Amino acid sequence: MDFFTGTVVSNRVISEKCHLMKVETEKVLDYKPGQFIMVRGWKGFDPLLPRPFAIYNWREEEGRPILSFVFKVVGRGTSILSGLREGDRVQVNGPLGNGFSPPEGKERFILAGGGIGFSAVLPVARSLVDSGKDVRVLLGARTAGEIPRIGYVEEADRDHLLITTDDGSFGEKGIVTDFLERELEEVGEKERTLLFACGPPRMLKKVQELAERFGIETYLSLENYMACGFGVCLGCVVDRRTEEGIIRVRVCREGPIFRSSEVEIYD
Amino acid sequence: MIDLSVQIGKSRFKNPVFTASGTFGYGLEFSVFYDISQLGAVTVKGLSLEPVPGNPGPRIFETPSGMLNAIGLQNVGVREFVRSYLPRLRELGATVIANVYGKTEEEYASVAAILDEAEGVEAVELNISCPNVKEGGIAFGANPLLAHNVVSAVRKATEKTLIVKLSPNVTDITEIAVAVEEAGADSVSLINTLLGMVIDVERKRAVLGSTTGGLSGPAIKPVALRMVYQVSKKVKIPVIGIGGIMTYRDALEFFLAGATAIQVGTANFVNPLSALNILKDLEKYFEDEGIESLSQYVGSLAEVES
Repeated sequence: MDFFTGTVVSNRVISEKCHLMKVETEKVLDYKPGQFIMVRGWKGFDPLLPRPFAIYNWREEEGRPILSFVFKVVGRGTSILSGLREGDRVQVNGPLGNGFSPPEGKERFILAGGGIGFSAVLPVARSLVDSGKDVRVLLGARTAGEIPRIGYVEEADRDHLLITTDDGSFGEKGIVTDFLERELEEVGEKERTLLFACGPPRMLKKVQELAERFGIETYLSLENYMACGFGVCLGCVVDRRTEEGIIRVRVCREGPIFRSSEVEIYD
Repeated sequence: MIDLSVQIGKSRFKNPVFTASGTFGYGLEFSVFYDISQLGAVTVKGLSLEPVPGNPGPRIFETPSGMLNAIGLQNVGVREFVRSYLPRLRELGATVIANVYGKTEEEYASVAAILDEAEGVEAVELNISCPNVKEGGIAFGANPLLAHNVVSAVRKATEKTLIVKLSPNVTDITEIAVAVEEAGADSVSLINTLLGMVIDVERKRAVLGSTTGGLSGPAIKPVALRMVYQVSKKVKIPVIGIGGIMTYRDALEFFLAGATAIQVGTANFVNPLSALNILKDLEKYFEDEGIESLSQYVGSLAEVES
């Protein structure tokens, strides 16, 4: 974890409301897919708090250390970020959170992302593909305009990546969890399969239900309001079921990735 | 270099820049970013006799130039703090102020008594002002008699420097300040958060899980400053200023209003280096301005004849 200032290299619109921002950093820091950063890109104290975003990539690009992340314009902070140009400075804290490490013995991975959830799912998918795993990705959006126009999505073949839209304006028509259900029905070796999902609460509730019904080990990447991102404000807690009862754990520190069977998702 | 040390009760703090409870964890999280022994003191998350799970979410929401929180004093409990966290804080050389919370007078006194015996606690700060719990907290902070009684009870339980953190959610904060001074407090710190609320219009319900929460950040600074100014005039004990201090200039305002020391709170979330930056900027300012002693500067506000 490091706290630093980076320089915007590019800030590209990749869907109706999402941007992919690339920031040049001093060096590439080790990170795990699924980890996140806290970002501020404005002067003064209004907006006040930094905003959390999943790390999309952090690597050398044309000899420069480049950190990239996806954000969706939802409020004043992200609206300001959407207006940043090459050369603008942003404050970054990260990498933060636990990130995802595939448990031993898993060979087949099914990943599902809903809405902006793709920004946490794709880095995990990429790292699993790179380590030679069998990976299937399902991304759901409400409509075609929400589908991110980024390399991973554009280059993937249909056997690897399935895209669904609620209105059928792109890819398969329907809800992503319905397609996920069909996918899970066909899973042969359940104990060698792992399910990973990120998306809105209603989707994650459904994923939890499917995970339990099909008996497949499942991990969820959660979002929450947070002030600091590194464990001190205690603002981002969720309920985790343990043997000693329910305890409140921080999405920013113990998460953002949790075992599906142990976290409570509130719609 | 200017001597920035300040005397509060029995304690000599090396400088007047402290952190505010609830914004600095147990201190250790920040040691990743800088050497926290440089600060005048670090005030740790409020400690109770038994661990507290805190409120259900959502607990945090940003507001214009500020934020609301309703954490509900989640903490590991005073014994676990003394056992697991305090030794590490000592290793780091941090000057520790332990913030204390109880549901009853006896509980406040018991927590203070445990801390009294703990090595590495420089001072105790009583939280009689948390707006986010049903029992205790604000009940003590809103009534001069109850405030007096709880401070008296704690005063008997500890020899350590005793700071009492005051709530702004009262009609006259100076009344409470005077009451706790009479009860033996060595210092008052103010302000805790202002009670506030945000509503989600689409869902027609309060955004925070516990409906209301405490407002902090730059939005509350003018209120905090006014209260520090008023209290400084009424009590003889040192006043510690808290409320929306983001930069050294904010800190200067509090010193001018009469604060002997300041606590940096919400700014720690915005930039983990905030408290350290404020300290360094203050040192530079005093040096550049040729100010030789902080005590001369404190309360040196020019009064307008009226």
